[in-house]
Parts: sequence; C-alpha cells; structure tokens
Amino acid sequence: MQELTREFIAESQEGLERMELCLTELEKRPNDGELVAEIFRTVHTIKGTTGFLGFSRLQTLAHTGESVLAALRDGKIGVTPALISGLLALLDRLRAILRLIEETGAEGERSTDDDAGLSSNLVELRTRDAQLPIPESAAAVPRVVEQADALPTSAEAPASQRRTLRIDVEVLNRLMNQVGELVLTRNHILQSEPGAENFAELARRLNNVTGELRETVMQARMQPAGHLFGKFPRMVRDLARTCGRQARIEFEGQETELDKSLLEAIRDPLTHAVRNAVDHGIEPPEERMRAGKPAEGLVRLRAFHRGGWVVVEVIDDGAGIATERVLAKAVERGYVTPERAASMSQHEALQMIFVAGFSTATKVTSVSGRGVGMDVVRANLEKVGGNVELESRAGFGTTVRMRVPLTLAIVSALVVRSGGQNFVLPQSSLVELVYVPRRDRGKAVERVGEADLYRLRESLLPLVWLDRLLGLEQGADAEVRDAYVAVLEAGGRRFGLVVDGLKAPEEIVVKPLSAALREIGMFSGATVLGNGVLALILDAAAMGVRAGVRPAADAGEISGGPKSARAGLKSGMESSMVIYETWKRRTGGMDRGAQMALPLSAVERIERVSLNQIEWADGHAVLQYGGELLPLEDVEEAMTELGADALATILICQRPGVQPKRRVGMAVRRVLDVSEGTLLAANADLPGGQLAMAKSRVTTVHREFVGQLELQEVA
Amino acid sequence: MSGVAGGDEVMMCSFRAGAGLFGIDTRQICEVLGAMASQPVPLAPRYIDGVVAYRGEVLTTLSFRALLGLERRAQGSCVLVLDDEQSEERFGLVVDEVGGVVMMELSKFEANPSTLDERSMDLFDGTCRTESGLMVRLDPARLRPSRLAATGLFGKTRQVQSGGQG
Repeated sequence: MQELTREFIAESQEGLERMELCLTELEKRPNDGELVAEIFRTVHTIKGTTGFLGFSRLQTLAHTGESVLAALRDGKIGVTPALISGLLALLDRLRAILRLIEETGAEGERSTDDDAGLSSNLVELRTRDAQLPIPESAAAVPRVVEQADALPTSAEAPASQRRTLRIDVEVLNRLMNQVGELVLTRNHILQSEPGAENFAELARRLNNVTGELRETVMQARMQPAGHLFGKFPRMVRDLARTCGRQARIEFEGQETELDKSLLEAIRDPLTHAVRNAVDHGIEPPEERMRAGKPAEGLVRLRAFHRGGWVVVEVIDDGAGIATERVLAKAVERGYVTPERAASMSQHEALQMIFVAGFSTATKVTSVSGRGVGMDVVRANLEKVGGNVELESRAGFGTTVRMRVPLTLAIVSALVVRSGGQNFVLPQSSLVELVYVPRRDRGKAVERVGEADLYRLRESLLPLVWLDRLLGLEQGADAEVRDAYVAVLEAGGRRFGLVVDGLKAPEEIVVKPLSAALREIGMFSGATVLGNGVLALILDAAAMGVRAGVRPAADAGEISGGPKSARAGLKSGMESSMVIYETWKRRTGGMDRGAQMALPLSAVERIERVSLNQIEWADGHAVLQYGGELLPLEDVEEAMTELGADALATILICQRPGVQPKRRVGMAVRRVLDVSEGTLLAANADLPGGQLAMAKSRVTTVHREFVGQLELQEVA
Repeated sequence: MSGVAGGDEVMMCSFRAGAGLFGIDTRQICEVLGAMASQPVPLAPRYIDGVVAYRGEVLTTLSFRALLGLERRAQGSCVLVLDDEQSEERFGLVVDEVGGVVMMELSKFEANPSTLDERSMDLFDGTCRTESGLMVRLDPARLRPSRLAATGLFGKTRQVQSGGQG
C-alpha cells in the first residue's frame, strides 16, 4: 500500500472517531454550530482526499453526507434522531470501506453493500421536513443487535490504530537530546582514567540522563484514557435503543494517562463492561420510574491513578445484582457447596460471577442481570497484571472496577531477604510493611492450629513464612529473631508475608523466565539488581493461593471484627485515614502535638527528609522532590524543635481537586496509624478541619482534604 | 557435516563431570562462561542449578552433576551456554571443568551400551574412545529443561517443608 494511502486511512479513521463523538454530542446539543462545523470538516476532508486518491465510492458517499451536513449547517433542516442515525450509518459505511482499503488496497464493493440505498436515505433526510418524526432508519439497527450479543472482538478497532502512535514532536526532540546527552556521558566515562576522581560525578550524571530518558520514553508511550472513551457515547446510544433503555454516559478523568499497550489491553474488557451496564444493568424506563429513579439511566466511566495503578471504573445506577440468585446458580452448577454459599459474604458471592464458564453456561443474564463472559474480562486483565472487582447494591447499581499497572517493563519493587536469598516484591501488591521486633513476636503472632496470625489493627492477618513456603533453609534462630511482615494483597487475598529482612526499594527491569521455571508458578520473572545479582520476582497472588489463604472477604469473617473497607462494600461512611501527630502544639499546652488525619488515598509516600535540604522561597518552605518543587507545611515548628540538621517525617500528599496533579509535603511529628474512620458532621467552629471518628477516638481531618473523603463516600 | 573437519569429522568440546568425560558438538555451544554465581531457584526441580544473567537475558542453568545423580559441588564449576538446533530454548549447563576442543571421526561413535540405566540412556547420545578414555556424546536438544521435565525421569520438584510448624 502506498505511504499516502496509509496516511490517509489513519487520518480519516481519527477524523471519523471525532465525528462519531460529535454526532452523539450533537443529539444532546442540537444548536451547537461548532459541532456541525467539525463534522462537516471531517467529511469534507475525506471527500477531498478520496477524489485525489481515486476512491470514487468513498467520494460519492462523502459528497452525499456533505450536502446533508451543509443543509444542517445552514439551518435548512434540524437535528432529529433519524438524522443522527442516518449520519452514523454513513459513518459506519465510510469506516467499513476504509478497513477494506486497508486490507485489500482497493475499496471494492461487497454484494451486501447498498451505497445507493444509503445515499437516497440521506438525500431524503435532507429534502424532507426533518421536524416530522421519521421512522428509524433501518441501516443502523440490525448491526447493533448483532453487536450486543457478540463478545468483544479486537477486530473492531482498525489494525493501523494499534500499530502506530502519534507522538508530539517536542517529546521526540527531547528524546533525541537525551540520547545525545547519554552518548556524551558515555564518551566521558570511556575517556576517564580508572579510579578517576570525578567518577562519582559521572555516575550521577549517567543516572540523571538514564532517568530522564526513561521518563521521556514512558511519556511518549503514555496515552490519555480518553482515547478509550471516544467510542462509548455512540455505543451506549445504539445499545440503549436496541434494548429499549434510556441511557447516557458520562466521563471523568479522561486525561488520566496510561501506557499504550495497556490501553489496548483494557479496551475490550471496558467495552464489555459498558455493554453489560446498558444491556443488563440499567432497567427499562418504566421500571426505573416505579423505583423512583429518573427514566434515563446513567453509566459513568471514571479513570484515575491510585498507588501505581490505573483504575477504570464503570458505574451504573441500574438494578444491581441480587447476590442470592448468583449464589443459587453457583450452587446449582456445583461451583460451591450450599454450606459454603451460606457462609459467603456479599462481596465474595459477587466475585462468583468471574468464575470461568459461570455465566455463559447458565445464561445468568436473565436471572441476575449481569455476567456474560465476565471471566473473559478477568482473564484479559490478569494477562497484563491487572485485576477486576465488582461491587453492587441491589436496586442502586453496580460498579466494575478494573485496575492495570502503569507500565509493564519497569516496575518499582521492594527487595526482601529470606533464607539467605534476595527476592523481589512488586510494589503493586504491597500494602504496607510491619516490623515485628524479637521481643514482641510472642505477643503479636497468634497461632490457631497450624496457622499463624498477626493482629494488625483489630483484624487478624494470616501469616505466610516465605522461607517455609519456598522450602528454603531456615537459620537456627528462625523462631526468635526479628521479622518483617509485608502485607500483600493480590487476587483478592490479603496476607502477611514474613521475611528476614528488607532491602532498599528499587526500580527493576522485568525479565521473563524460561518455561521450565515458569511452571513452578511462584515467580513472575527475574531481574538483575543494582549490585549485579539476579533476584527472582515473587508472584504475590500465586503465593497466596499456594499458602492456602482464603480470599479477603473470608478473613474479615474469621476475625469477627469490623470488616475492613477493602474486604467488601464500603459500609456506610467509612474510609481509610492516616492518623498522625502534628508539630503544632495542642491548645492545652501539653508536650505533644494534636492528632490529625488525612485520607489514605491522598498520601503518596512517607519520607524521612533531612531538614537542611529544605529551601526557602519567598518565605515559604519548599523541597526539591522528584524533579518538582514541593511546598511544605508545618516545617517551622519542626525546625524549632529538632534543629536544622535533624531528619523529619514528611507526608507527601496529593492536593485534592487540583489538576494537573500537585503535591504538598506535610511535616509531621510521627505517623500514628492507618485506620478506618468516619467523618462527623461539619462544625463551623473548627477552623482546622472537620472532626472524624477513628478507632473510637476523635480526630481532626485536615481541612484541605475533607472534600476528598466526602467524595469517596459518595462514590 | 561441514567445516574444516572434512566430511566425517566433527569438533567436540570436551568437559568433565564427576569421573566421566563428555563432549558436545562445538556448533551447538554459544559460549563457554567461566565460573558464574548462579542464583538458586526455590521449588525448582533438583537438576536445575539456578539462573544466571547472560547478555540481558535470564538464563536457566542445569546442574549436570545432579542429572548424573552426583552431589553438587560448591565451587569450581563452569557454565556452557547451549542452543539446540531450533534455537527454541537457550540454557546453561553447569559442569565441573571444560577440557578443550577435540576432533572426532563420526564413524567412531558407538550407540549407548544396552545395559545402561534408564536415565543415562535418555541423556547420552553414544560414546567414543579417546586417548584419555571413553567420551560420552551429549545432544543439547535432549538436555532442554522443558524436555527433562516432560520425561519425568529426573525427579519432581525439591521437597517442600511443611508450611506449619517451623
């Protein structure tokens, strides 16, 4: 295929994608002239280029479309559903021809294609008084019906879109610059004498250049999640019509960026989830009215970053899933015993939907209202190291939450030691680290039968000893020395992995293992550590399974205590908070700081920073942190008490509601705990924030972050 | 057969493991690495020595001593990087000591003696007399880790200690 043609196809496909979005938008805002102009431009461009390239079929169709749009632009006809459907049908045809050209090099004509019919339909739309209700154009509907039942296929997106990537020339220039810098640094290193004095400086420069280069390459690969969302307004519109629903779709966090390859990986699962939401989630209008809901259902797509993950949620306000029915089916199909089913928590029961073959075999759709091929969704996500969760409240709607890592090749990880060997734990599965000193071991570790449990904030955590699990040699003092517990969460299981020691966190490059070693199933790869030694990367989910840890919902039942928020539906208004002691004196004048809290989701890291690193700009304390200037709070108090050279604990927090992401550093006396807390009613008398109840003690939530907690609760 | 060796001669790289002398066709050896510290892989079959870093890859190494049923040696071992003909799987073979390159006439090779035990029968690819004793020929394709696992002759995974009491 000619270069020119290929370019034309890529451009036209992008144009059509925009046009699709504009058309669905136009239906909502029929008087928006800008939208019409945009659509007009797209069709006009296609018409112009096709004439030049000699694709007469495309040209004829585009011309017909253009004349309809011209009439629309000039106000001769108005926007009607029929007009939109007609134009969408035209768009589909244009797209199909483009795909044909891409595959065969010629636009050809299939016997099923009826260009003349489509054209006459459009001409009719132009001439007829469009204000009259016109029967739905037949062209679009049958195709949609087909689609509604089919599993998501990758064929939907044209191949060229997956292979090519548009990169800002600016980014490319930066890449080139950095590569140049890298070459210079290499030359410098090669020419310097062994043991040269400036070696440390060279190493630092190499480190900087590599870091920047990596970041730029990553950036070039990053794509906004909005690219995924583009096709959904159309899909929801068509599906809603086919299924007799009223639905609209809303987006949030389109600018959230994720790696190109992961974007592709999440495309099909997302399509599937949205389709399910409209098809099975949202009830027919009458039913919704009866339930006191607006006739029009709402599907919300929400993308955001959280702790090294990209989270994409599909939230509908439909009927939700009746867990009893899911369980009944599961028992009927023999997936669980009736006794087991009876003891399942709601969250756990919902996850049954992900069991392979659960839905396809039983047509659960008609019973529970959800579930075609959710196992496929899960499998697709797990392939790229992601996962999926389902939350549902009968009568209020369902949330499908998909999580994928930011990138695949380079991951941040923690190096741990066990049995004299180094292992790597990906940060993505790491929740927190707990140090259990020798003298506390007896107290902290409790034993029930063969199982060891650790009491972590009012709930019992099953412990897994890494050395025992892997059959490693244990030192003679294994029972009495200090231990570290890495609290892991993966595959719905939450457990504490006991290791002998922790080493520095590192950014590792993941290398695959040979087939013979993959078979062991405990290692997801290997990496070369900074000191040149190889280390195996542990697969947290597999370890949990191997050690026989039951999925998280169970753990809550065992402990009998309050269920943690992760273990299931957020019960009422609970959310996780970091509780800390501030440097500000308590009003009582005692020698301790006031107790404050921040939402856990806002805290990115906890750093120990030497106070002499802090600089002052215009009377404000700032810290150079990861290439940005971090404003600091409460530093003066820390300095007066500690002196200028001491280490201070800084919470690196994300400012809520500010885009692009802005961070702020909070100097704290010490971090006390992470705990579930409940926001109390607002109190105008309190300038510092709002009160919250955490671990049956009253805590003040930092005023800037109160909104975030409220948001979480609404979500 | 091609190369300077002429029609019926083949270049063999000889090496020792335990008391035995072995040889592999040099064309199937990518590289002879010196002693390398391999990282053991827990739960792996006994014959897997571990993993080593090799040209940006993670290379699985086999302990030839373990395959022969001998005890492991603490040090002084040498890693051969092998590639089978289809290049499906590259792996390392840990042996005691690498000798040198010897020319062998193909016609001198004899089939495995029929009295050989089952494991050796599976591993060996004929023998040949040399000045320094009998040399056993090995075929890298037969040594591939995934094939060894499939034969089931060389033992399952290492024993895992019970997860309960330590």
